[in-house]
Amino acid sequence: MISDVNSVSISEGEEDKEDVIVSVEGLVHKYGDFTAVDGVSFTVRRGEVFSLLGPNGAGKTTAINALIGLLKPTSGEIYLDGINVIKNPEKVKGSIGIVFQETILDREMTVWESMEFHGKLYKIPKEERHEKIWELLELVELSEKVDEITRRLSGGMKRRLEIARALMTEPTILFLDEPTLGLDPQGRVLIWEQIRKVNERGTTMFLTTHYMEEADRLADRVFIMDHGKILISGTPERLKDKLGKDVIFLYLAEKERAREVLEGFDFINEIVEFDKGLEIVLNGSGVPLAPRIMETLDSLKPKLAVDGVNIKRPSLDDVFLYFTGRKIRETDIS
Amino acid sequence: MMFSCILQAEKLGKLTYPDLFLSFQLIERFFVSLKEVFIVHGAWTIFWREMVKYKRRMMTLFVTIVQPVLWILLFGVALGSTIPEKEGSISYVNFLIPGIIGLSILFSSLFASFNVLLDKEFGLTKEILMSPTSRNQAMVGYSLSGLAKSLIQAFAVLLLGVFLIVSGSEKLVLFGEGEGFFDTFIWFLTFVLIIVIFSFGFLFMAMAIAARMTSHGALQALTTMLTLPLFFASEALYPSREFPFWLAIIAKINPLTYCVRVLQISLLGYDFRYGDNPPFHYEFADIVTGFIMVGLFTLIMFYLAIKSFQKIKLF
Ligand SMILES: Nc1ncnc2c1ncn2[C@@H]1O[C@H](COP(=O)(O)OP(=O)(O)O)[C@@H](O)[C@H]1O
Ligand SMILES: [Mg+2]
Repeated sequence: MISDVNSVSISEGEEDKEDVIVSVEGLVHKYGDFTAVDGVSFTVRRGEVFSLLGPNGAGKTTAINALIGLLKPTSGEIYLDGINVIKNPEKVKGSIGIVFQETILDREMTVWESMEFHGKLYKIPKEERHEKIWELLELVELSEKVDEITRRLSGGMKRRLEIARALMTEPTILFLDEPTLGLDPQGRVLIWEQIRKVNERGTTMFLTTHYMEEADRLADRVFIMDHGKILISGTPERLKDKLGKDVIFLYLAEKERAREVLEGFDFINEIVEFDKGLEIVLNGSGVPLAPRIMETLDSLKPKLAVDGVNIKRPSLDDVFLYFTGRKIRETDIS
Repeated sequence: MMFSCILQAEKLGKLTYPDLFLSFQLIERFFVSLKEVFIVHGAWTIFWREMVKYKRRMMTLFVTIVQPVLWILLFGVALGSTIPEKEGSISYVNFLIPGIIGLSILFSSLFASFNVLLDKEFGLTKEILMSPTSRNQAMVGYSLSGLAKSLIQAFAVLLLGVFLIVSGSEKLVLFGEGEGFFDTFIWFLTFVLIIVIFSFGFLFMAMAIAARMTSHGALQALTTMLTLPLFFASEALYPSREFPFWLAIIAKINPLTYCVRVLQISLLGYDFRYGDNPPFHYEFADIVTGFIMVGLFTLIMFYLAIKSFQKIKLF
C-alpha cells in the first residue's frame, strides 16, 4: 500500500523562491547502522506554520536537531536564510529560536532569572533585555509568575516560558519540537493560541508533533514522516481531500462474496479486508452510497447477511494511518 | 591613545572641559575593551547563574560553611585533645587550619562536577551551547563559581579556627606573626593565590570528569575514590615523615601536600611545631616548589577540562 504513494507531494502552485527560509535536500542521519532520517527533502516558506507530523521514532527530533545545527547529519544539505547550516552552524545561532522536545529549565531558578540567563547568554544589553522579558512574558501570559521558581509551574506554563525564552533573540524562525507533549487539553489549547500569536507577529514556525489534531489546526502545510522518510505533504485540507472520501465499514462474514459483487461499482475506490468484515473506501460521500451498497447486497441470492454498517469521514488521522501503511481501525459500532 | 590625548592637551596647556570629557570616555572605552578581553562574557553569565542558585539554596550555603566547621571541631578539638601541649609549640587546631582549608577546597572543588552533570541531565548544556557562549567559556564559568565557593569555605575555616584559638586563649600564629604589615599582606596574598590555583586545579579535574560522565552513581563513586587517597596520603592532618615508602610516594605527587605546605608556611611561618612532635622547618624554596607543583597540576587539568568539554555529547 505504501509503495505507490511514497513521497507524494500535493503542491499548491509554483514555489516562490524568495519565500523559502529553510531548504533541506536529501537529509540523511544515521546513528551507527540505524538510519533515523532517510533522505528527506523539503522547504519551509517564510511566515508559515510548517509541521512535521509522525509517530514516535519517525525521526522528527533528529531532523530538527540537524536543522538547528546541533547535530551534524550523515549527508544532505540544509540552508537557512541562504546560510549553509552544516558548514556554519555558528552563523545561524542568532536567527534561530528552539524549544526542545524535553523541558529545559533550571528547576531552581525563577521565571525572571531563566529569561535573564538566556538574554545574558546572547549578550542582549541590559535595558533591552529587561524590556523584552516583560514584553514576552506578557505575550505568553506569564507576567504574574515572574518570581515563581520554574519547578512550581504547570507543564503548560513551562512550555510557554520556553517559548517566550526562545523569542528573546527575535528569531526569524522558531523550532518547536512536540510543544504540547504530555499537556492536558486546556494547556494544549493555550499553547496553540501562543503559537498562532507568535506566528502572527511574523515568525516562521517549524513544528513537529505526533498529534494529528495539532497539525490539522495549526499548520499551513503538513509533512507526514515515518521511518525517517516523508510520505506525503500538503495543506491539511488537501491531504484529507486526497484520501478525501468517506469509508464504509461493513461487518459481515462472507467477505469474499461481497467483495466480488462490490468491485463492480465505480464509486468504490478500494476494498480492504479487516477481521470482522470489509472496509470500503468511496470516492464520495457515504450518506447516499451506503443504502445503495446495502440494497445490492440485500438483493443477492442467496441472501448475504450484513451484521452492521458504519460510515466514517476521514480525518488527518486517517490520512496518516493510510500513508503509514496501517489500516484504518474501525471505530465502535453504534 | 588615551594617554597621548591627555599629554597633547597638557602640552598645549589648555585642558578644557570637553577634552577632559573625551578622555573620560576614552578611559571608559579602554576598560570596557579590557573587560571584553579578560572577562569572558559567557563565563560570567554561567558564574552569575550558579551564584543566584547558590544564594537561594540556603542549604548548600549552610553545608559549605558547616562542613569545614565540623572538620575543625572533629579533628582539631577531638584529636587535638590527645596531643600534649608543650612550651614553644602551637596548638593542634592552629596547626590544622591550613590542612583543613586544603581539604575543604579539595572537596568543594571536586563536587562542582555535580552541577555540570545536572545541567547535562536537564539539558541546560544544550541551551548554553546553542547560544554564542562557547564550550570553553562554559567550562571557565562553572569553575569560577566553584572558586567563589572555595574561597568562602577557606575563610570560614580560617575565621572559625581563629575564633577557637582565641577563645581558648591560646597563642595564635597567623600570616607571619609580628613581622609588620607589609609581610602580613604578602603572606595573605600567597595564601589566597595558592588557594585560587589549587582550587582551579581540582575544579578543572571535576569539569573533565563531569563532561565525560552520565550517571550520578558513577560520578559519586569516582569522586569518593579520588578524594580518599588524596586526603590520607597528604600532610593535611599529620606530617608525612612516618609514612611507609608507597604512601610517601603518593604524598610526594599529591597536589594537596604542596598546597597545604604553602598554606602552612603562609599562615604559620617557616618554622613551627605542635605538641611534642619534631619541629617543621621550611624555606623559601618550598614555596616555589609548592607553586610549581600545584601550578603544573592545574595546567594539566585545564588542558583535560578543555578537551573533555569539547567532547560533551548533547544527545
Ligand atoms: N542518540 C541516538 N542514538 C541512537 N538512536 C537514536 C538516537 N536518537 C534517536 N535514535 C533513534 O532514531 C529514531 C528517530 O528518533 P527521533 O528523531 O527522536 O524520532 P521522533 O522525534 O520522531 O520521535 C528512533 O528510532 C530512535 O530510537
Ligand atoms: Mg522527538
